[in-house]
Amino acid sequence: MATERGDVLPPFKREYVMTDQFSVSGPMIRKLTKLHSLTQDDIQEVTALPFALREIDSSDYLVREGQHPQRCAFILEGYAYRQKLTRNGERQIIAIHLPGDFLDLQNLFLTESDHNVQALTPGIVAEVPLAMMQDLVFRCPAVGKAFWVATLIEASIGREWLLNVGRRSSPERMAHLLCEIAVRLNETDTPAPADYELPMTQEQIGDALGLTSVHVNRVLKLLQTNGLIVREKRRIQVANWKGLRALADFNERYLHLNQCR
Amino acid sequence: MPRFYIDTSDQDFFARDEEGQEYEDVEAAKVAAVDVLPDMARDELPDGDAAHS
Repeated sequence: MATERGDVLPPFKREYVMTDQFSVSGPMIRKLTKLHSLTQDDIQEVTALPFALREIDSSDYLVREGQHPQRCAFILEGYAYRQKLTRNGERQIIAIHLPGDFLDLQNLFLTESDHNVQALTPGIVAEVPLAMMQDLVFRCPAVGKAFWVATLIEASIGREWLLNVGRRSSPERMAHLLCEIAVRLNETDTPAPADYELPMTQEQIGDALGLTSVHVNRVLKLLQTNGLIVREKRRIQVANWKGLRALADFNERYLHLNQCR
Repeated sequence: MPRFYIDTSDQDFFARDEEGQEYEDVEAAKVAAVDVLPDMARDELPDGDAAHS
């Protein structure tokens, strides 16, 4: 929760370069082709990127506020989140990232990071030197457009979160987060829509929804009592999808899932 | 840090906290328990947050 601003980026535990490029570029190409159609040449260029794989632990920083990122990361396994802190160390979680998401496309062309990105769970990220990603944008305009679309969708999700935190009641906020994660997980390479792991503590959920952790517990219980979800530890089973959507006022339009279909 | 479990109850609904959270001490846990009250009160308003725009 309370993290010092300007801490130095800790060294990661393990780092190695993957020899099998395709198992890394495969998920990235699947993601990009959902955002914009790619030619065979584009796909070859992405596959040829020098990916470095990195194992990450929960809470590891992937990007720090004030840093000048040198690498651009893509999540292969695990969850991450974006957060900003007040002077007092009060945290607002501003986005959740799932496998198949790029982690810092903003910093492709911004020189200084304005917020932090941290691992929510242990996982694996693929990193590419920033200069090579920038170069790719100019050599392959279709890939550049896909990056741009990904960034626009992130902004759209940010707008929805702002509406959620600013204007919805606590049960509606909670229901909306659960709907979003379910729908987005369904788009990843390993879909699990009805029953999924929400690897967040009550405190982290509270920081994402602008609620206290005690209230998060209460609201989750309320959704369960109303037959909308079944929650066992961090496993969420959607018991009444229609009801959960209706409560959340959830419309997946803002996720732009049919951008390239 | 010790872990505290903070159950909540209003007229209609009791919620047991099974996950709990670590707080510095019992005073910090009390502050957290009091902090939930505005959230609970807001949910009791007829239109939730919309009622106090």
